[in-house]
Amino acid sequence: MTEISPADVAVPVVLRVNGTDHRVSAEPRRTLADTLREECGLTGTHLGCEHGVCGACTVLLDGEPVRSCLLFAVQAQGAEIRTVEGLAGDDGTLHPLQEAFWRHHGLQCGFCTPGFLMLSTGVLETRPDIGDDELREALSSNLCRCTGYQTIVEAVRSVRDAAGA
Amino acid sequence: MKPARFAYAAPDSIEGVLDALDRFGDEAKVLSGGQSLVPMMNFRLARPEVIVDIGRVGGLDGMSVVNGSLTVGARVIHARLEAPAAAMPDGRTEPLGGVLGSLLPEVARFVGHLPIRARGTFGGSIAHADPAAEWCILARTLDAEMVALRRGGERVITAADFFETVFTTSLEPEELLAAVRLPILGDDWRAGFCEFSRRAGDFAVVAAMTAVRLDRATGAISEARIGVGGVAGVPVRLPDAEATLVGEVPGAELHAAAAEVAAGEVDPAGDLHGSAAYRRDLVRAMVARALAQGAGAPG
Amino acid sequence: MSWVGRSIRRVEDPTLLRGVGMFVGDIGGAAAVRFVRSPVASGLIGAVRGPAYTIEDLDADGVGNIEAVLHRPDYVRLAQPLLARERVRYVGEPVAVVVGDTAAEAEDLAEQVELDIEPGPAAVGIDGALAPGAPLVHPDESDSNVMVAGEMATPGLAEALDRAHAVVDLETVSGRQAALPLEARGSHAVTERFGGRTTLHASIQAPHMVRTVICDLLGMPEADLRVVAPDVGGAFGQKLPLAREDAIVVWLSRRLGRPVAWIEDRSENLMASWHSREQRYRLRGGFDAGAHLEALQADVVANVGAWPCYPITWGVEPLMALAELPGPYTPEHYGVRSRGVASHTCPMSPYRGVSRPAITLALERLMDIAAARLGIDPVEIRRRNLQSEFPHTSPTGLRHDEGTYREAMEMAVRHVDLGAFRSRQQTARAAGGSQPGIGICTFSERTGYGTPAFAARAMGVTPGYENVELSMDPSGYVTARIGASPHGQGLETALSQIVADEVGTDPGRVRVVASDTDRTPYGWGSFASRAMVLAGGATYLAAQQLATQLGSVAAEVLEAAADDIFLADGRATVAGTSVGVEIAELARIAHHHTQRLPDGAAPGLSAQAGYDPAGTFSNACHVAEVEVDPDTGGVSVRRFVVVEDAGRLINPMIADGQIRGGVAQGIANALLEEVVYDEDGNILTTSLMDYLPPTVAEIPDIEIMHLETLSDATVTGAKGLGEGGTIGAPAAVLNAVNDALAHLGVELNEMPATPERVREAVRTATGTPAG
Repeated sequence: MTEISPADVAVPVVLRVNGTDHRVSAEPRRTLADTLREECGLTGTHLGCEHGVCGACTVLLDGEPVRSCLLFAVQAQGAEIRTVEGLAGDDGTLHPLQEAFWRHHGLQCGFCTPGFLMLSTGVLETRPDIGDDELREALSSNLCRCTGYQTIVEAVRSVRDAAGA
Repeated sequence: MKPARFAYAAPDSIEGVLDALDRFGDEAKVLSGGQSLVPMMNFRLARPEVIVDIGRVGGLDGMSVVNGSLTVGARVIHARLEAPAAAMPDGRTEPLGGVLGSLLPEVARFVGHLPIRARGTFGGSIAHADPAAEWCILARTLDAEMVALRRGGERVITAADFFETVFTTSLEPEELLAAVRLPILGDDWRAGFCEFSRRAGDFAVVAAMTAVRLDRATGAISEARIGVGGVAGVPVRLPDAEATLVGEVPGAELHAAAAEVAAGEVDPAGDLHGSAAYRRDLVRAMVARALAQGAGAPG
Repeated sequence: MSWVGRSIRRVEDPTLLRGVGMFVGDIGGAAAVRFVRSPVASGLIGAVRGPAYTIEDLDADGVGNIEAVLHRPDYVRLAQPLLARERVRYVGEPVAVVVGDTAAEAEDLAEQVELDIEPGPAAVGIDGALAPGAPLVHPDESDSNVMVAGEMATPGLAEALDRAHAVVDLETVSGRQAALPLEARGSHAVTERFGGRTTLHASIQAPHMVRTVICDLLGMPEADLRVVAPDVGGAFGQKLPLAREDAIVVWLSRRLGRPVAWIEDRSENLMASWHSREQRYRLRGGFDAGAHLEALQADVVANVGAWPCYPITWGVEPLMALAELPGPYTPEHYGVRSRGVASHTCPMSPYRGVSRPAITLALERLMDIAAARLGIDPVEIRRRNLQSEFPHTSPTGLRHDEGTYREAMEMAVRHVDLGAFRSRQQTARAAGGSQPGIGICTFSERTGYGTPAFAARAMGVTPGYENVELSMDPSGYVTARIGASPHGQGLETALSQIVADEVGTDPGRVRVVASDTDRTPYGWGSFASRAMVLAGGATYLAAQQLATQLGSVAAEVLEAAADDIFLADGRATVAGTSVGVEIAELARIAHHHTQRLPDGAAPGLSAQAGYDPAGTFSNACHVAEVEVDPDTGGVSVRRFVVVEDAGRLINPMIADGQIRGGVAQGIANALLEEVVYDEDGNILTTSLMDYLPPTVAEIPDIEIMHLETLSDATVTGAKGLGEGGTIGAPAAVLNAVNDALAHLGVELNEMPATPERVREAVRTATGTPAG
């Protein structure tokens, strides 16, 4: 008989985030985004729409960029989750994409930035030689209200080009 | 925008899923990739009592070619159809070639955005039954067969019988959509797909798929299929427009004539994203372009 | 070496890039507040029944009403309760409030609240609200829905129109748009158990103003409320007015004695945060034989929604149109009637650009249509009409300081190579299929205005000045405490560049403290393209004082004349010598060895300055190149060129970022985004699948060029530019769409130019029956 988690009871969940196990409890209805933010204290993952359009909540799940507002925490057990807090090195060195967003002015208010960083990290790690058109198509997954996007595209392109050089 | 409470089951076998569906009936909802269901739950437009998560079930994410059909497991994510590979009758896994092998990536790139394609599933999209969803239009146009499992049984539902109305299918509450069978189109088929959406990655306002079979001797069309989404509660076939094509040799004039018939054949309702008249205009444009694409000619 | 004028990287960024910024939703540790909102546009409230902690009546607690006032005879004054009382006036209006342990539980509780509302008829849209017998939004206070009306005419207008060589009549419509910051609104309040002081963190643009009004409403001293705007995820005007929800959050934290937070969700944000832009213009332009616009007459209506916003009121859209409509042009005769009409829809607030995207759409369509009528080129008609003598005084008395209206246009047109475009266009027209079009838009952007301009609006409170306090600590670092409240614009970086130049230090040794009423001088916040001019000007003046103080300490230490001291590169040097001293050492002396200070000098290093200019005008020319598919009505923007003159640029990279972001929002206004209500006042666009902000796929790269005409009206020579992108882009795109389809006889003067509207216009022009 399949085990059923009752609706109104928080169940223990182990989330592996940025290489660390977080033992938390969450009602089945709790999304991964809310759990990361409120149970794991990782508030860099932002919520901009909670219906999968804006991409501010994008995290990597087993290397793939996904919307953490469209996943329940109970579904993410056993997966490797990466969030913006895990991008910089242990010594605090910024990730090349973080550096590039800084250099190219790829952020203004910074609310969409973690989502764009995780989206581009996932894209460049799986497709390091992605073409310009495909990159633009991939970046159309997320919304930014401040920059008009051009500097975000330039930032990601520069990291792709530097890695390929 | 937080979902209402639900109980949660994540069986690790198909039997476990079928047991849970049998036990909870219409209180339960199957969660596959969740890219359509979870937004509706966050808006509380969907509020299932029990979620049956099939994410831990093995055996639902295969693609294989059997008896002239491509069987796509329900849990195959959209991204895999951007470069489809399937187990062949001889057991080896190979990239899918042929007309269907080119058509699937052409359609897949219109499905949502990259993170949605990384998580959302083919079967989930079919079972969600959005009338403008690309896979639903494809299934209807190609007369796909849906394989539904229930405890102790299986039935096959044709696309024509499967889609009932918006977000509603003929699946019974205790049934699981396990796979979809798509006909492998022979080399004498030409297929095209064209959609108009407001922004990159949005649901289509109107989308059209066409598939025509050419008589090798005469070059005339011997069989034609036109499927359109965004004009009714389900994706629809357009038999009058299809009939216009049969017996004729493809060309811009014929395509325009068929598109004109198609525009007159649909009876859309208007909504926020397009009035009835506008949707008919789009049907005309999309059908003509899908046909031209299939014929390898510019739209 | 000067720091001003350099594109240095922003000091704001590392925190945000690491994901360790603090937005209001990141604070946590608070109970969740959820508002129960009206499901109908209009109705009488009967009983409200709900679970414990349902609060629907604040009157018993002595909570006051919001009164957004304009001192004008034509203005209808209202007292707005924080929660709807007796009547609901728009879908989404808050009626009751519940508090739960988590956001999900608060939502569960809100679902259990039963609202008995007797639905009534709703006035929706401009025509619906103006129609005879229209349902009244405020029947007890006014017998019409016109809430504010302004009118003026210069003598001789009618005669001038009569004798005009050509008269062009035109109606333009600007749809309703939402500012849509990616972070929706939100607030978090904690009240100290002992002492009862409350701290409000809120996603807002004007913390000092918000503190004042909340304290007025709740009857508490301002000293007992600290208001902080932490990291703010975009605002664009939507977070400028008082959010009634924020006041309730403060009240709840004080009444319940526990921390509470309201984090607006996207659906609430689209339904019940502020809307903007909905306006209709009827223009009549009288041109002489030389194609000069001699006389301009306008009738403007803005649908301002159900309530005014505090403190700006719902006069801002119609009255700005009245004052600024002549734009960059020079009609001798001008007449206008401009009204704000209430409707049973979400209230309006200023959104980046305010009235000017609609003003500019009307004027720039007028110019293109007149050019076609008179048989001249769109560039030529503007050449003949743009301001070229300065200062220019408009028919409404606005003083335009020096600008480069014609030069900017000529530069933009040369850059796009109009001739080459026209020949490509001829080829495409012959071939059929998708059609390219080009559109020009020239405009002025009134920016950086202080108290005098706001006083002319006769608001209940008069915003304007900005204050800055600068101090250098003993380590030689400068702290600037500012009244402005930046939220993503990069103001901290730009101000640090100004300070660095004046006191001879490095921007890395400047810290800017903002957005906290406990730590900053009173100021009005960041809005209206003002912060660089106002806060920048005050910073510049204070930094000069600080430099003078450093100079006098250095003079004492170096035994030189203060006038000979030169501050640069972290050193104070005696001019013409290599004799000098580290500024950091001067800072030590000024704090720790005050016996060495000149006689009468105050200990320490600090300065304060306010700045309150009359205002200045930026100008720009936008050129859009589009491709239109006549079969689907789909429009894509292929190229976008901006020539901007915003005076002195403090940090060009940041300036370009402002332009690009503004243009993207303007393209969205032109083509994509529209808040839609049905005829009963139900809002249809409450998700991002229905309300359509653009992705990167819809926004081209934006080519930017600058002219730098230093303003004589500001101390730094800078002019504001935060709103310009949104002002010019819509008209440029609409002109381009019309240009693309001109050979079919299409005229489309409504935005957004959705595919359906474009297709409809093609059908109408070509006589193709519907469907």
